[in-house]
Amino acid sequence: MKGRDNVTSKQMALFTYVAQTGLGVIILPTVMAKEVGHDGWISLFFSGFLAIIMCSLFMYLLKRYKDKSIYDINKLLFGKLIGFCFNFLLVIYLVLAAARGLRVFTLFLKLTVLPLSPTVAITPFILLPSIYLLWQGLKYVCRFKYISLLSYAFVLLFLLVMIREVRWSFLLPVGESGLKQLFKSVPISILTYIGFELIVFLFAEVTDKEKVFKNQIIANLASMTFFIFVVVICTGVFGEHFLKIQSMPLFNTTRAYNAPILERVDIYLVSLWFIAMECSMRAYMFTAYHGLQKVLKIKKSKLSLLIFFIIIVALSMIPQDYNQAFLFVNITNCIGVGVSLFFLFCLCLSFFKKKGVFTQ
Amino acid sequence: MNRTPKIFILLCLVISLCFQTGCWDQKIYERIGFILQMGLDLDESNQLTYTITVPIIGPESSKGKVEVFTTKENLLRAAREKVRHVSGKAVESGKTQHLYFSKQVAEKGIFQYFDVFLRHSENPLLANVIIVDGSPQEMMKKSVEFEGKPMPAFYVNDLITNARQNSYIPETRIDDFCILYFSKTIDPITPMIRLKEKQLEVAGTALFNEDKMVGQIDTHTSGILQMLMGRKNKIQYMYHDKNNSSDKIKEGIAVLIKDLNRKIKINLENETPKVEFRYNLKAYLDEFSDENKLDEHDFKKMYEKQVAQSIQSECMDLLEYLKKIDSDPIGIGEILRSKHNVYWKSIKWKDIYRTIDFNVQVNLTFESHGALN
Repeated sequence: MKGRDNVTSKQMALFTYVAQTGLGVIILPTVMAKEVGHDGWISLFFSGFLAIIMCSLFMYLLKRYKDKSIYDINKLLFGKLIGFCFNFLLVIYLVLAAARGLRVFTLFLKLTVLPLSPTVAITPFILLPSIYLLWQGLKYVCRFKYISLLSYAFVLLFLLVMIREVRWSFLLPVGESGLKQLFKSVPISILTYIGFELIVFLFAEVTDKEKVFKNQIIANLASMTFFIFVVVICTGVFGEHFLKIQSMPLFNTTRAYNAPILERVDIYLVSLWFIAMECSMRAYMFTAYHGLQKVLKIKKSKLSLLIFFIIIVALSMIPQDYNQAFLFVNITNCIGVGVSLFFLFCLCLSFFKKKGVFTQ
Repeated sequence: MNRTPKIFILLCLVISLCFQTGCWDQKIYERIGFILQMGLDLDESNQLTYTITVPIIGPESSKGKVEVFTTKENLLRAAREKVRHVSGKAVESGKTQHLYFSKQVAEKGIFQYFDVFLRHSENPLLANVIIVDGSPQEMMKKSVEFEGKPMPAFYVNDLITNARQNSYIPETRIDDFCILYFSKTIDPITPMIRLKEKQLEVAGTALFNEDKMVGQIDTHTSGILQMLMGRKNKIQYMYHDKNNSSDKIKEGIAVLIKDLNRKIKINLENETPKVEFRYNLKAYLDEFSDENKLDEHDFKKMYEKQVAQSIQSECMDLLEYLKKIDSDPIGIGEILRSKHNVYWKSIKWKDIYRTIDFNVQVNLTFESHGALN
């Protein structure tokens, strides 16, 4: 089963890209409109570059330890016991992030196409592909993500068509919210890029490590471009004030499109986006299960996989309503930023505690 | 040996898909009544009257038949539920094509009625918002009985689609209305229709201040409004010489204006903003009542100037009317907000709008006058 977790840097980049963009983008225009009005795209531009810088620093940390994963690095930096504690906390974060993904997915499914179907009935069917792919390994998880490119292609095509519906004056004047407010919004908009930290957990599984840096930067740049494009189109179509009251602006954009011949084109596009959402959710699921195996030395077995999914489902059911679900999302995303800062702390520490640092 | 259980599991999964056609959200076509049109009206005691048309889906004998339901409730959902008590079908609004409001309802504000459409993704945002000059309830009930006309929803659809093409009415769907309502800088407009004996008639454009109807213009002026709004639709313009005292029965010029190139110049140097619209119009002359000598330069120029002046004067009249009723469908406020933001933030827009000094410059050329001079 060992080779089944090995992926190329390109597959890893796709893994990062889908993890970043699949779920958060649905509500992103509203989040940005609430923060900085019609200047959301500028904030995303700033935070995108910050995410790229952080990602580069993660790469530098990983490069210093050559083939080691963050779990090994922590043990070298903090010792076995404290290192284990940190690793355990990291795995808890990943489990929470996986549960967040599942909660958001079921929530959007209920909001869009299956409002009356109970979550308990929907969840097993959502999880079936994930259970299968997690069992098969990272290579298969990544390969399946190629299918999600179809969703991206259709959504991008749709957004291009929507350009003619954009009222460009809704995006003017550029920078009206002011530099101060824009910088204040960066801690919020950086949450959108959460997913870029996954490479730190899975670095050891990449076969062509010398190309990881380049491909991860490309993945982050692609995410930034996609986010900015979505926010520009949604703001230009709806205007900042209308965006502020919406709970799923990306899907609402599809509802506002009057397609020739086809009626209710939104249903097709929303259904297609479910593939991307599922892939995004699965990225955290795999990383969490992979982390559990590494940290708790759990053997990959049908029982452990079953228990893992039961925990994920149970955690995902804790938030009872929309508000609680997005509070859960925000908390998990904030922890994600905390985890990223922790990696940067590890990088700084690695200059003082040089045990295990690779020197040519 | 090992393949049999895998194939068995796969088969079970595939077969199970047949029983999962939408889980709890399954809706069977034959058991649903599709609302195609919805009308909101106020009765004598100011209570909301909700009327819907639902096509009958069933045997050949009922083909083309439409049921009309009317009920009085304050909430759209409550009204729908009440209709379900008598319709015998699960009435659903996912296919709603037209949303009619009486003028009385529109004057009190209509955004509140879009809540259910915005909130539930199963409801369409692309339903046409239409103001009825008269009672929507009466119009919907009578339109079911029209002889020689298609089903009411299809009839209205054809009617408004054709009228839109010549700028007699605007195209306004729920999302368009809400986007403009929330912009706070552009006021929405909607098409108007009315019942006329045994048929329906497009009546022009309803003008709004935010979501409250404050005025209306006829189909002819609707074209002028769309020209001022910078829409690229074609306009069928009819010119009549008001000073003509001859007793000719046939008098006037019909032109088709195609290339509407709007330029707006805003001058904020004085206390009162000056807004100037400039047009270079190219028209196709369709009908002419004077001598056939449009090949003569001066003769052609004279009529070009007359038509241009007529358009100019109608634009000015309309702009003054819009100021008077406090409606800004052109989006002057949006232009100021987006391009003159410092000034915009220093003023109270609604006060300033009434004082704007408008000017319109129209230059028109007959690009073609057909096979006759």
